[in-house]
Amino acid sequence: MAKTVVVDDEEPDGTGDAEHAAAVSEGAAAVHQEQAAASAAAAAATAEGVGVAASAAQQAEMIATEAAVAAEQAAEVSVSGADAVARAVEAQTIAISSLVEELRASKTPPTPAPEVKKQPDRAPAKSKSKGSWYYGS
Amino acid sequence: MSLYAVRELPPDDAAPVIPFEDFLSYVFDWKQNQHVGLVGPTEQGKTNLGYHLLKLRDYITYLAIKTQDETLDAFIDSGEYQRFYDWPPMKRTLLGSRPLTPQEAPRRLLWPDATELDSEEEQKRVFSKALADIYARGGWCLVLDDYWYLAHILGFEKQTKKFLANARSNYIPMVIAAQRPAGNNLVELFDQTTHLFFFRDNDEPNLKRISGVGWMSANLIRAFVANLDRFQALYVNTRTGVMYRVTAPELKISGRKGKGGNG
Repeated sequence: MAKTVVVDDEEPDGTGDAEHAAAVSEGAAAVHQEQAAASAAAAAATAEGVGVAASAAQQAEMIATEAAVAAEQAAEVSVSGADAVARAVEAQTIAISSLVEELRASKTPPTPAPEVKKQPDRAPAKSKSKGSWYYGS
Repeated sequence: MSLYAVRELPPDDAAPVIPFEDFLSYVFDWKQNQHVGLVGPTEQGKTNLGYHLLKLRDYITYLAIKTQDETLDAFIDSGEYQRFYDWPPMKRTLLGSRPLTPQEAPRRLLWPDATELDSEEEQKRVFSKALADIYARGGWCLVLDDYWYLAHILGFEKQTKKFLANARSNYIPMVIAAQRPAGNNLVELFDQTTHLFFFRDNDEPNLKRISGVGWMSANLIRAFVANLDRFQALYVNTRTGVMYRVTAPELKISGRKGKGGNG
């Protein structure tokens, strides 16, 4: 805190001026000191803000990096998922084809019904009844 | 199932439709001691189907009764059948004449002249001789075209029933064509036949007469019969229960009047 200096205007030998100047200087110094302290405090505060900002920026960068990594991983996962689905479909197709072939192989062809065998008919008898004179004996 | 329900087509697989050639080759096992029935209204293809079935027999006597019959003319045109007006068919020789042997004329269309209103007497005379001879000798496949006419107009009911009951043992397979299902007057038609063919019939009384076909469901048969196509036949094996629907190829009709062999 600046001191209050009382100047006695009535001292004739000039010592008053010197004391006055000294007091002014002292007061100015005090003011400068006070301003310097304030500036230092402001500078410190600014520096602190810069640090916080830098820290935030660093964190943001880290988050961004992490996000990029995560996205890359997700992309990789996505690609691998699509591959997995494709592989599953392919395996399923092979399995179905195999089953179809197995079914075809195991399915016995329809047995054709045996063709009806036609035996020659027994011919009418030449002579059987007494009245059949016309066929001869 | 009510009679109304016969209008509904039964499941196809109960009587599959198969090509006629496959039917003859793989299904229709007609032995010489088995009878065949063809049941259906006129102009549904009974005679036409009969022609194709008879290819399986070697010795045939076909009793024809109509005044004219284009389908029977086609039998003759095929070259397989000879028309005869009397029984026994005779062959002229240097010394006179003698009866043709079965081998000389194995497929006979016995078709007396029926153009006169009183032709029944001639038909009776000829058919009586033929029936007596065939019954005694055996071996002939006897075809009765229009059972009702032969039984009730010509009076052969007793003889035909006797044939149905006993002729199988003498290797006389019969083919009986009837315009109406058996009913009470001819239960033998369904009892004694191994192979039955039904043609399309939508007449309710006729449908009701379809019964007693072996152990088979009359309602199922009725339902098929009511839904057959024209010229299509429902085949029923009365012993095994096998049923198929078949359509025989149509005989080529020449349109000419039948010519005779002897007579």
